[in-house]
Amino acid sequence: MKKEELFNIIGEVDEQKVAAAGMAMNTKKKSRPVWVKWGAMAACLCLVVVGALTMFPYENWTEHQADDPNWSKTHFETAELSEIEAVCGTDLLLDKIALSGDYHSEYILEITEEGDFKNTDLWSNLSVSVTNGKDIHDQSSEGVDNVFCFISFDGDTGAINLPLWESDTTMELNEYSVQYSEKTNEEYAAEGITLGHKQNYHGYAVFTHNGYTYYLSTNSDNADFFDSIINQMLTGE
Amino acid sequence: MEDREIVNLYWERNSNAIKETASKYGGYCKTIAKNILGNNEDAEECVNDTYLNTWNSIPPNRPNVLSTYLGKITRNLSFDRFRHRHADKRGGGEIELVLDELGECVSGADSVEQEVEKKELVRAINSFLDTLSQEKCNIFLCRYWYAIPVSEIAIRFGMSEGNVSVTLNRIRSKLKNYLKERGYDL
Repeated sequence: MKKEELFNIIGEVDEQKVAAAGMAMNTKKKSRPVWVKWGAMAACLCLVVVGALTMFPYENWTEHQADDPNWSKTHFETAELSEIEAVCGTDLLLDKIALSGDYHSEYILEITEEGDFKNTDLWSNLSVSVTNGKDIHDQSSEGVDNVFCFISFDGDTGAINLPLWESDTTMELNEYSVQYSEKTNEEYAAEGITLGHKQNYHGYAVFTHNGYTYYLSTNSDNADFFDSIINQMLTGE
Repeated sequence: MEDREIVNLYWERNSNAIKETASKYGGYCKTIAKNILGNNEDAEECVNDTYLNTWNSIPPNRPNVLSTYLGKITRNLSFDRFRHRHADKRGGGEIELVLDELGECVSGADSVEQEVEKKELVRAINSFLDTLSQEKCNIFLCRYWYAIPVSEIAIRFGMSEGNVSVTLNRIRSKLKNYLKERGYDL
Protein backbone atom coordinates (compact mmCIF):
# COMPACT_ATOMS: atom_id res chain seq x y z
CA MET A 1 0.00 0.00 0.00
CA LYS A 2 1.15 3.54 -0.67
CA LYS A 3 1.26 6.08 2.14
CA GLU A 4 -1.22 8.27 0.24
CA GLU A 5 -3.72 5.41 0.28
CA LEU A 6 -3.35 5.03 4.04
CA PHE A 7 -3.91 8.78 4.41
CA ASN A 8 -7.13 8.42 2.42
CA ILE A 9 -8.26 5.43 4.46
CA ILE A 10 -7.65 7.27 7.73
CA GLY A 11 -9.96 9.93 6.29
CA GLU A 12 -12.82 7.42 6.52
CA VAL A 13 -12.57 6.65 10.25
CA ASP A 14 -15.43 7.16 12.69
CA GLU A 15 -16.78 10.71 12.42
CA GLN A 16 -17.41 11.00 16.16
CA LYS A 17 -13.73 10.35 16.84
CA VAL A 18 -12.73 12.92 14.24
CA ALA A 19 -15.10 15.47 15.75
CA ALA A 20 -13.74 14.78 19.24
CA ALA A 21 -10.18 15.37 18.02
CA GLY A 22 -11.25 18.60 16.37
CA MET A 23 -12.86 19.79 19.60
CA ALA A 24 -9.72 18.84 21.55
CA MET A 25 -7.70 21.14 19.28
CA ASN A 26 -10.11 23.95 20.02
CA THR A 27 -9.71 23.53 23.76
CA LYS A 28 -6.24 24.48 24.93
CA LYS A 29 -5.28 22.00 27.61
CA LYS A 30 -3.95 23.41 30.84
CA SER A 31 -0.20 22.85 30.85
CA ARG A 32 0.97 19.92 32.86
CA PRO A 33 2.46 21.04 36.14
CA VAL A 34 6.03 22.24 36.11
CA TRP A 35 8.54 19.63 37.23
CA VAL A 36 8.91 19.52 40.99
CA LYS A 37 12.37 18.87 42.28
CA TRP A 38 12.76 15.60 44.14
CA GLY A 39 14.15 17.44 47.17
CA ALA A 40 11.01 19.55 47.57
CA MET A 41 8.81 16.48 47.27
CA ALA A 42 10.92 14.60 49.81
CA ALA A 43 10.28 17.44 52.28
CA CYS A 44 6.55 17.03 51.72
CA LEU A 45 6.80 13.39 52.79
CA CYS A 46 7.06 14.55 56.40
CA LEU A 47 3.50 15.82 56.19
CA VAL A 48 2.07 12.83 54.36
CA VAL A 49 1.03 9.42 55.64
CA VAL A 50 3.36 7.25 53.54
CA GLY A 51 1.02 4.29 53.43
CA ALA A 52 -1.83 6.39 52.06
CA LEU A 53 -0.01 8.29 49.32
CA THR A 54 2.80 7.14 47.08
CA MET A 55 5.12 9.86 45.85
CA PHE A 56 6.75 9.72 42.47
CA PRO A 57 9.82 11.65 41.46
CA TYR A 58 8.20 12.84 38.26
CA GLU A 59 5.07 14.88 38.69
CA ASN A 60 3.32 13.70 35.58
CA TRP A 61 4.36 10.05 35.99
CA THR A 62 0.93 9.12 37.32
CA GLU A 63 -0.67 10.86 34.37
CA HIS A 64 1.40 8.74 32.00
CA GLN A 65 0.53 5.61 33.96
CA ALA A 66 -3.20 6.35 33.84
CA ASP A 67 -2.88 6.91 30.13
CA ASP A 68 -0.52 4.05 29.27
CA PRO A 69 0.51 1.73 32.10
CA ASN A 70 3.38 0.34 30.02
CA TRP A 71 4.95 3.75 29.38
CA SER A 72 7.22 3.72 32.41
CA LYS A 73 8.57 0.25 31.55
CA THR A 74 10.15 1.56 28.36
CA HIS A 75 10.52 5.29 29.03
CA PHE A 76 12.69 7.08 31.56
CA GLU A 77 11.71 10.72 31.95
CA THR A 78 13.34 13.43 34.00
CA ALA A 79 13.83 17.16 34.10
CA GLU A 80 17.22 16.86 35.78
CA LEU A 81 20.54 16.57 33.94
CA SER A 82 22.09 14.76 36.90
CA GLU A 83 19.40 12.07 36.77
CA ILE A 84 19.69 11.37 33.07
CA GLU A 85 23.49 11.34 33.34
CA ALA A 86 23.19 8.84 36.20
CA VAL A 87 21.45 6.53 33.72
CA CYS A 88 23.15 7.40 30.42
CA GLY A 89 26.57 8.55 31.53
CA THR A 90 28.38 11.78 30.78
CA ASP A 91 29.63 11.04 27.26
CA LEU A 92 26.53 12.10 25.34
CA LEU A 93 27.14 15.88 25.34
CA LEU A 94 23.96 16.33 27.38
CA ASP A 95 25.57 18.95 29.59
CA LYS A 96 26.32 20.94 26.42
CA ILE A 97 22.64 21.17 25.51
CA ALA A 98 22.01 24.09 27.81
CA LEU A 99 21.07 27.75 27.76
CA SER A 100 22.38 30.71 29.67
CA GLY A 101 20.20 31.97 32.48
CA ASP A 102 17.10 30.13 33.72
CA TYR A 103 15.71 27.37 31.54
CA HIS A 104 13.65 24.16 31.63
CA SER A 105 14.77 20.73 30.45
CA GLU A 106 13.13 17.46 29.61
CA TYR A 107 14.92 14.18 28.91
CA ILE A 108 13.06 11.08 27.68
CA LEU A 109 15.05 7.87 27.22
CA GLU A 110 13.24 5.12 25.31
CA ILE A 111 14.35 1.51 25.44
CA THR A 112 13.22 -1.23 23.10
CA GLU A 113 11.75 -3.50 25.75
CA GLU A 114 11.25 -3.60 29.49
CA GLY A 115 14.57 -3.86 31.26
CA ASP A 116 17.40 -1.96 32.91
CA PHE A 117 17.53 1.60 31.59
CA LYS A 118 21.31 1.55 32.04
CA ASN A 119 21.66 -1.38 29.62
CA THR A 120 22.93 0.28 26.44
CA ASP A 121 21.87 -2.74 24.36
CA LEU A 122 18.26 -1.73 25.02
CA TRP A 123 18.67 1.95 24.22
CA SER A 124 16.53 3.11 21.29
CA ASN A 125 16.62 6.90 21.51
CA LEU A 126 16.92 9.89 23.82
CA SER A 127 14.91 13.08 23.31
CA VAL A 128 16.19 16.27 24.89
CA SER A 129 14.20 19.50 25.05
CA VAL A 130 15.58 22.71 26.52
CA THR A 131 13.71 26.00 26.58
CA ASN A 132 13.87 29.34 28.35
CA GLY A 133 10.13 29.80 27.98
CA LYS A 134 7.87 30.09 31.00
CA ASP A 135 7.73 26.30 31.34
CA ILE A 136 8.88 23.19 29.44
CA HIS A 137 5.86 23.37 27.14
CA ASP A 138 6.60 26.96 26.13
CA GLN A 139 8.85 26.21 23.15
CA SER A 140 7.25 28.08 20.29
CA SER A 141 6.56 31.56 21.68
CA GLU A 142 8.09 34.72 20.33
CA GLY A 143 11.37 35.51 22.06
CA VAL A 144 11.86 31.97 23.41
CA ASP A 145 15.08 30.07 22.70
CA ASN A 146 14.49 26.37 22.29
CA VAL A 147 16.76 23.43 21.55
CA PHE A 148 15.58 19.93 20.70
CA CYS A 149 17.98 17.04 20.27
CA PHE A 150 17.04 13.51 19.27
CA ILE A 151 19.80 10.96 19.78
CA SER A 152 19.22 7.75 17.89
CA PHE A 153 21.00 4.74 19.35
CA ASP A 154 19.55 2.03 17.15
CA GLY A 155 18.93 3.86 13.91
CA ASP A 156 15.27 4.50 14.71
CA THR A 157 14.22 7.99 13.64
CA GLY A 158 10.49 7.48 13.69
CA ALA A 159 9.85 10.15 16.28
CA ILE A 160 11.17 13.00 14.16
CA ASN A 161 10.24 14.56 10.86
CA LEU A 162 13.40 13.48 9.07
CA PRO A 163 12.91 15.62 5.92
CA LEU A 164 13.37 18.74 8.04
CA TRP A 165 16.96 17.61 8.65
CA GLU A 166 17.80 16.82 5.03
CA SER A 167 20.43 19.13 3.60
CA ASP A 168 23.32 19.17 1.14
CA THR A 169 25.30 21.63 3.22
CA THR A 170 27.98 20.40 5.59
CA MET A 171 30.56 21.99 7.85
CA GLU A 172 33.53 20.54 9.68
CA LEU A 173 33.84 21.34 13.38
CA ASN A 174 36.83 19.68 15.02
CA GLU A 175 36.33 15.96 14.32
CA TYR A 176 32.63 16.37 13.50
CA SER A 177 31.13 16.54 10.05
CA VAL A 178 27.82 18.36 10.45
CA GLN A 179 25.05 18.32 7.87
CA TYR A 180 22.94 21.41 8.51
CA SER A 181 20.40 23.95 7.31
CA GLU A 182 19.23 27.29 8.62
CA LYS A 183 16.05 28.97 7.48
CA THR A 184 13.63 31.67 8.51
CA ASN A 185 9.88 31.34 8.77
CA GLU A 186 9.60 33.23 5.50
CA GLU A 187 11.83 30.73 3.73
CA TYR A 188 9.84 27.79 5.07
CA ALA A 189 6.57 29.47 4.10
CA ALA A 190 7.86 29.79 0.55
CA GLU A 191 8.21 25.98 0.57
CA GLY A 192 4.72 25.53 1.92
CA ILE A 193 5.92 24.46 5.36
CA THR A 194 4.43 25.88 8.53
CA LEU A 195 6.56 24.95 11.51
CA GLY A 196 4.15 26.50 13.97
CA HIS A 197 6.94 28.31 15.83
CA LYS A 198 6.61 32.01 16.35
CA GLN A 199 10.40 32.43 16.48
CA ASN A 200 11.91 33.46 13.18
CA TYR A 201 15.16 31.49 12.95
CA HIS A 202 15.34 27.70 12.73
CA GLY A 203 18.41 25.53 12.52
CA TYR A 204 18.71 21.79 11.86
CA ALA A 205 21.88 19.73 12.19
CA VAL A 206 22.83 16.06 11.94
CA PHE A 207 26.12 14.68 13.22
CA THR A 208 27.56 11.58 14.80
CA HIS A 209 29.05 11.40 18.28
CA ASN A 210 30.38 8.21 19.87
CA GLY A 211 28.74 6.23 17.07
CA TYR A 212 25.27 7.65 17.71
CA THR A 213 23.39 9.95 15.36
CA TYR A 214 22.29 13.31 16.73
CA TYR A 215 19.39 15.26 15.19
CA LEU A 216 19.52 18.77 16.58
CA SER A 217 17.06 21.62 15.99
CA THR A 218 16.92 25.15 17.34
CA ASN A 219 14.27 27.85 17.29
CA SER A 220 15.01 31.43 18.26
CA ASP A 221 14.52 35.07 17.35
CA ASN A 222 18.31 35.41 17.59
CA ALA A 223 19.93 34.74 14.22
CA ASP A 224 23.15 33.56 15.91
CA PHE A 225 21.50 31.10 18.28
CA PHE A 226 21.93 28.00 16.12
CA ASP A 227 25.63 28.74 15.60
CA SER A 228 26.17 29.29 19.30
CA ILE A 229 24.53 25.99 20.25
CA ILE A 230 26.42 23.99 17.63
CA ASN A 231 29.73 25.51 18.72
CA GLN A 232 28.88 25.01 22.38
CA MET A 233 28.19 21.32 21.78
CA LEU A 234 30.99 20.46 19.39
CA THR A 235 33.85 22.88 20.04
CA GLY A 236 33.23 23.96 23.61
CA GLU A 237 33.27 27.63 22.60
CA MET B 1 -27.46 27.99 13.92
CA GLU B 2 -27.65 24.35 14.95
CA ASP B 3 -26.26 21.74 12.55
CA ARG B 4 -29.67 20.11 12.22
CA GLU B 5 -31.13 23.43 11.05
CA ILE B 6 -28.34 23.99 8.54
CA VAL B 7 -28.87 20.49 7.09
CA ASN B 8 -32.59 21.23 6.80
CA LEU B 9 -31.75 24.31 4.72
CA TYR B 10 -29.92 22.07 2.26
CA TRP B 11 -32.89 19.72 2.10
CA GLU B 12 -35.19 22.68 1.49
CA ARG B 13 -32.77 23.87 -1.26
CA ASN B 14 -32.54 27.17 0.57
CA SER B 15 -29.42 29.07 -0.61
CA ASN B 16 -28.86 30.35 2.93
CA ALA B 17 -27.52 26.87 3.64
CA ILE B 18 -24.15 27.78 2.18
CA LYS B 19 -24.06 31.14 3.94
CA GLU B 20 -24.74 29.47 7.29
CA THR B 21 -22.20 26.74 6.56
CA ALA B 22 -19.54 29.29 5.69
CA SER B 23 -20.31 31.30 8.79
CA LYS B 24 -20.06 28.34 11.14
CA TYR B 25 -17.49 26.11 9.44
CA GLY B 26 -15.62 28.26 6.95
CA GLY B 27 -12.62 28.72 9.24
CA TYR B 28 -12.60 25.05 10.17
CA CYS B 29 -12.58 23.93 6.54
CA LYS B 30 -9.95 26.47 5.60
CA THR B 31 -7.64 25.25 8.36
CA ILE B 32 -7.90 21.68 7.08
CA ALA B 33 -7.26 22.78 3.50
CA LYS B 34 -4.32 24.98 4.45
CA ASN B 35 -2.68 22.22 6.50
CA ILE B 36 -2.68 20.06 3.37
CA LEU B 37 -2.05 22.62 0.64
CA GLY B 38 0.18 25.08 2.47
CA ASN B 39 -1.21 28.30 1.04
CA ASN B 40 -4.29 30.49 1.43
CA GLU B 41 -5.20 30.75 -2.24
CA ASP B 42 -5.47 27.02 -2.86
CA ALA B 43 -7.17 26.56 0.49
CA GLU B 44 -9.86 29.15 -0.38
CA GLU B 45 -10.56 27.41 -3.68
CA CYS B 46 -10.95 24.06 -1.95
CA VAL B 47 -13.29 25.52 0.63
CA ASN B 48 -15.45 27.00 -2.11
CA ASP B 49 -15.47 23.63 -3.85
CA THR B 50 -16.49 22.10 -0.53
CA TYR B 51 -19.61 24.26 -0.41
CA LEU B 52 -20.52 23.21 -3.94
CA ASN B 53 -19.92 19.54 -3.19
CA THR B 54 -22.00 19.80 -0.04
CA TRP B 55 -24.85 21.49 -1.92
CA ASN B 56 -24.77 18.66 -4.45
CA SER B 57 -24.65 15.90 -1.88
CA ILE B 58 -27.28 17.05 0.62
CA PRO B 59 -29.80 15.66 -0.15
CA PRO B 60 -29.73 12.69 -0.43
CA ASN B 61 -27.30 12.60 2.49
CA ARG B 62 -28.30 13.77 5.94
CA PRO B 63 -25.02 13.87 7.90
CA ASN B 64 -25.08 13.21 11.64
CA VAL B 65 -21.94 15.22 12.32
CA LEU B 66 -21.90 18.14 9.91
CA SER B 67 -18.41 19.34 10.90
CA THR B 68 -16.80 16.03 10.04
CA TYR B 69 -18.91 15.69 6.86
CA LEU B 70 -17.64 19.06 5.63
CA GLY B 71 -14.15 18.41 6.92
CA LYS B 72 -13.97 15.15 5.01
CA ILE B 73 -15.03 16.78 1.75
CA THR B 74 -12.44 19.51 2.25
CA ARG B 75 -9.77 16.98 3.18
CA ASN B 76 -10.45 14.86 0.12
CA LEU B 77 -10.57 17.81 -2.26
CA SER B 78 -7.40 19.30 -0.80
CA PHE B 79 -5.51 16.04 -0.93
CA ASP B 80 -6.57 15.39 -4.53
CA ARG B 81 -5.34 18.84 -5.47
CA PHE B 82 -2.07 18.24 -3.63
CA ARG B 83 -1.50 14.91 -5.41
CA HIS B 84 -2.33 16.43 -8.76
CA ARG B 85 0.10 19.31 -8.31
CA HIS B 86 2.91 17.29 -6.78
CA ALA B 87 2.77 14.27 -9.06
CA ASP B 88 6.11 15.14 -10.60
CA LYS B 89 8.04 16.77 -7.84
CA ARG B 90 8.64 16.84 -4.15
CA GLY B 91 7.28 20.21 -3.15
CA GLY B 92 7.61 20.20 0.63
CA GLY B 93 4.82 21.18 3.00
CA GLU B 94 3.34 19.82 6.19
CA ILE B 95 1.39 17.11 4.36
CA GLU B 96 4.64 15.65 3.01
CA LEU B 97 5.89 15.25 6.56
CA VAL B 98 2.61 13.59 7.56
CA LEU B 99 2.81 11.23 4.60
CA ASP B 100 6.42 10.33 5.38
CA GLU B 101 5.39 9.38 8.91
CA LEU B 102 2.54 7.24 7.63
CA GLY B 103 4.98 5.71 5.18
CA GLU B 104 6.44 3.75 8.09
CA CYS B 105 3.20 1.79 8.37
CA VAL B 106 3.07 0.68 4.74
CA SER B 107 5.26 -1.17 2.27
CA GLY B 108 4.91 1.41 -0.46
CA ALA B 109 3.99 -1.26 -3.00
CA ASP B 110 1.15 -0.78 -5.44
CA SER B 111 -2.00 -2.50 -4.32
CA VAL B 112 -5.17 -3.37 -6.09
CA GLU B 113 -7.59 -2.23 -3.45
CA GLN B 114 -11.06 -3.61 -3.44
CA GLU B 115 -13.80 -1.46 -1.97
CA VAL B 116 -14.76 -4.18 0.49
CA GLU B 117 -11.15 -4.55 1.69
CA LYS B 118 -10.96 -0.80 2.18
CA LYS B 119 -14.10 -0.85 4.34
CA GLU B 120 -12.68 -3.69 6.42
CA LEU B 121 -9.43 -1.83 6.88
CA VAL B 122 -11.31 1.27 8.02
CA ARG B 123 -13.19 -0.92 10.49
CA ALA B 124 -9.89 -2.33 11.77
CA ILE B 125 -8.40 1.13 12.21
CA ASN B 126 -11.52 2.24 14.08
CA SER B 127 -11.09 -0.76 16.38
CA PHE B 128 -7.45 0.16 16.86
CA LEU B 129 -8.42 3.71 17.79
CA ASP B 130 -10.77 2.23 20.40
CA THR B 131 -7.73 0.67 22.11
CA LEU B 132 -6.14 4.09 22.60
CA SER B 133 -6.87 6.55 25.37
CA GLN B 134 -9.00 9.51 24.34
CA GLU B 135 -5.96 11.78 24.39
CA LYS B 136 -3.81 9.49 22.25
CA CYS B 137 -6.67 8.99 19.79
CA ASN B 138 -7.09 12.76 19.54
CA ILE B 139 -3.36 13.29 19.01
CA PHE B 140 -3.27 10.61 16.30
CA LEU B 141 -6.23 12.10 14.43
CA CYS B 142 -5.01 15.67 14.84
CA ARG B 143 -1.81 14.61 13.08
CA TYR B 144 -3.06 12.13 10.48
CA TRP B 145 -6.64 13.28 9.82
CA TYR B 146 -6.26 17.04 10.25
CA ALA B 147 -2.51 17.17 9.28
CA ILE B 148 -1.84 19.62 12.12
CA PRO B 149 1.84 20.46 12.77
CA VAL B 150 3.46 18.74 15.75
CA SER B 151 4.23 22.08 17.38
CA GLU B 152 0.56 23.10 17.38
CA ILE B 153 -0.50 19.74 18.76
CA ALA B 154 2.07 20.17 21.53
CA ILE B 155 0.68 23.58 22.49
CA ARG B 156 -2.94 22.43 22.47
CA PHE B 157 -2.30 19.29 24.46
CA GLY B 158 0.08 20.88 26.94
CA MET B 159 2.99 18.66 25.93
CA SER B 160 6.51 19.21 24.65
CA GLU B 161 7.11 18.63 20.96
CA GLY B 162 9.49 15.80 21.79
CA ASN B 163 6.78 14.09 23.78
CA VAL B 164 4.26 14.45 20.94
CA SER B 165 6.76 13.03 18.45
CA VAL B 166 7.58 10.07 20.67
CA THR B 167 3.87 9.47 21.32
CA LEU B 168 3.05 9.49 17.61
CA ASN B 169 5.94 7.15 16.90
CA ARG B 170 4.63 4.65 19.43
CA ILE B 171 1.09 4.86 18.10
CA ARG B 172 2.29 4.26 14.53
CA SER B 173 4.22 1.18 15.65
CA LYS B 174 1.20 -0.10 17.56
CA LEU B 175 -1.04 0.49 14.54
CA LYS B 176 1.27 -1.42 12.25
CA ASN B 177 1.46 -4.36 14.66
CA TYR B 178 -2.30 -4.28 15.34
CA LEU B 179 -3.12 -4.47 11.63
CA LYS B 180 -0.46 -7.11 10.97
CA GLU B 181 -1.89 -9.32 13.73
CA ARG B 182 -5.24 -9.10 12.00
CA GLY B 183 -3.91 -10.10 8.64
CA TYR B 184 -3.36 -6.64 7.13
CA ASP B 185 0.20 -6.48 5.85
CA LEU B 186 0.17 -3.04 4.35
